Amino acid sequence: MSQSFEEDRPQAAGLLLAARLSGFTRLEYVSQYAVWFLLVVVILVGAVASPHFLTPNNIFNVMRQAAALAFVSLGQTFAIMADCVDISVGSMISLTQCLAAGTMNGQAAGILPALGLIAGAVAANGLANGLAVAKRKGNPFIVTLGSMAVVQGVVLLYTGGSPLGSVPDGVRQLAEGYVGPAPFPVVLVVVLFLLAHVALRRTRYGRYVLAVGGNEEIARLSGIRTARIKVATYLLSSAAAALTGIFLAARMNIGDPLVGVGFDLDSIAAVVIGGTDIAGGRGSIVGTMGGVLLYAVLNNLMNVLNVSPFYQIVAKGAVMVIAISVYQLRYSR
Amino acid sequence: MPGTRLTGRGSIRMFQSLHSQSEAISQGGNSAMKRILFGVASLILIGLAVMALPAFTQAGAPTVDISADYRWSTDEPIQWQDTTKYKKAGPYKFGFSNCSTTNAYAVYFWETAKWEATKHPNKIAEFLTTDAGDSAAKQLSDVEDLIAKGIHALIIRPCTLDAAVPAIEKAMDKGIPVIISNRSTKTSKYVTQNTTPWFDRGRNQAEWVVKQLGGKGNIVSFEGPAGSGPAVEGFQGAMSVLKNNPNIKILARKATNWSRAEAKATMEDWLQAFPKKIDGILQQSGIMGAGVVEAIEEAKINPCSMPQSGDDYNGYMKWILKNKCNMITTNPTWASGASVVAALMILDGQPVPKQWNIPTKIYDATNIAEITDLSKSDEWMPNILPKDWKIGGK
Repeated sequence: MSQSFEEDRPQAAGLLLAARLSGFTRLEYVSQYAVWFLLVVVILVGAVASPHFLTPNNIFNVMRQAAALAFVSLGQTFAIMADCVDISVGSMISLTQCLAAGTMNGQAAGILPALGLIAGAVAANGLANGLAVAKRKGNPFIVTLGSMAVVQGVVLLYTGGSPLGSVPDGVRQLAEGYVGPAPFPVVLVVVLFLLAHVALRRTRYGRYVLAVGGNEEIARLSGIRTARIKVATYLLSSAAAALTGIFLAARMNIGDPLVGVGFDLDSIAAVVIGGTDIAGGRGSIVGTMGGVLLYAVLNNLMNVLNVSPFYQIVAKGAVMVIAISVYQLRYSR
Repeated sequence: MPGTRLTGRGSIRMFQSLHSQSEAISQGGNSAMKRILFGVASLILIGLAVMALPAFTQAGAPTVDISADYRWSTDEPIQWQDTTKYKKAGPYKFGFSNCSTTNAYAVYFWETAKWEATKHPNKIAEFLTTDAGDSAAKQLSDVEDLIAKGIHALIIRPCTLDAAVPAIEKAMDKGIPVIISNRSTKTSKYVTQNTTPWFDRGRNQAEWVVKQLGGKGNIVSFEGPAGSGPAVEGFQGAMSVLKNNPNIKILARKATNWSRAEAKATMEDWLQAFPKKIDGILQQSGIMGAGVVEAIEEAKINPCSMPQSGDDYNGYMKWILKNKCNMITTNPTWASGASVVAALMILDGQPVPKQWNIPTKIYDATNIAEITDLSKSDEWMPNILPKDWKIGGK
């Protein structure tokens, strides 16, 4: 295996990455603050408006409901940072939920076969997306739009169009269980986000993702194997969607071929609200957490306030537009 | 007639007054007269007890006068649910989880629920509502949120047979009575269910189509959203007829999601795919039926040559009135009102039937004028809302 250019010309590569990172750090702080500021505002409104809002029961409810979006947004963060947006995640969630519930069918013996099938689906979708974008220079949006349609077709064929299957009690603990006082999914989200944050800042993969997303040509010239990074990122994104699918199978105890609808756009919204640049190259895992929480808290707040469902859709859209406009102002310097 | 049947308590009072009367008589009259009168009194008492007996053996049938609109169907034997454990003093907080309001039926269903709630201001302190936007996953979250808000009763219109089942069962385990409204659920953990009898409607529709075709021919089938109660149970009802008619062949089936546009596009495709081969149409809804007949007319085929079923969507009913063919089975929009009343009865400890199905009626070209309203738009459906009720109002 040849040495990467990074070792041959450490100074050039180092300078490049350092420049990227320092620019990113300044913007990152500002963006992070924006989403957390909004989150605090929404929480304050909720606390004032209803006594139920800040009860532990409600808080844990919100976080459990946010867990599904959190898992998939994690993968989407890396994807967007690498300039490899993945809109097939919605269909992947549906497919993996149906594979999980359909293969397990309430039996513990079905767990391993289900995981095997899901791993196969993740590998197939991730590789297909990654190779098409990396080797064939396909536009990520178009490529994953295509794979979204193919995966959705596979789900409908597999399920015959109707919900099916069920999940054994042990697996249901993934969604319903507790670790001490905290719901298990909440703990899992926190752990995974910490790992991802460390991976982004401290590992080579994390740095390379930002480099590839920032400027692919320069990254390639610096010796980064951009194709591998992109394929790895798409595999990661599909894996995150699979985790969401398995979690939703445990939570809903059914495989619903349409469950993933909306997660593709919601995950992109959460990531972008959290401060990650849609053009790639800079972003923050912690920011995504903020975006996911804002989304879930807003949803919950409007339910608690008994806001009409039609106004809810408008309100969520408005928040998204505001948040994204704020970032665009800063990024378009 | 409700309300006129004598309850146990009524007969006890009658006995007490008879007893005191016979006491008074026995003090004044001779012994023979006493015995005769006592005998007569006993006979009357026994007669009354026998009349009152059914009330007791049915675990206390409700004595409340339920509006005729909400009366349950008595096609099946009634399975009474004892609700004494849910009895609590008002005022109550109700939670109503709706699947969505994206079609004509859903709109009138929703408005009737809100209207019925306004009729009981002293008993219903808060009427919390959520809309799942046709997403089963969101409906699960919605029900969890409602439970977290401390509702006393949950009324739910499940998007699919599986939607929110974990939350429904959690509510029942927590002692919150659950009332299923309009669409069915796969769990049996609920107190009562005010659904349109989907199986019966499917069966009636298939019976009619089979009869029109003389037991022989090719049909296509349009259904509601995959996995929803109406679609699944409706088709099961149709199959109960079709399995006895082997000369009827289903060429194609599609879930066209209560959408007029989708049904029309699908029929256009099928008219191309099966030229001159479609003899009849098994149709679950009037909205979709209206789209289908448009497709047939535009293909320059006489729609009446393809008998089609449907429901009481005004657009379809107006078409039937004009073209004098096809039939419908009704889908009563006031099942939601019955659910609100059922919730009040349950929280009052009154017994309710487990299957509180609102009866469905059959209409065809000969009598559809009775329920069609030519002055209203296509999107109207028969309902019990007052004339001055504003759609979308509080």
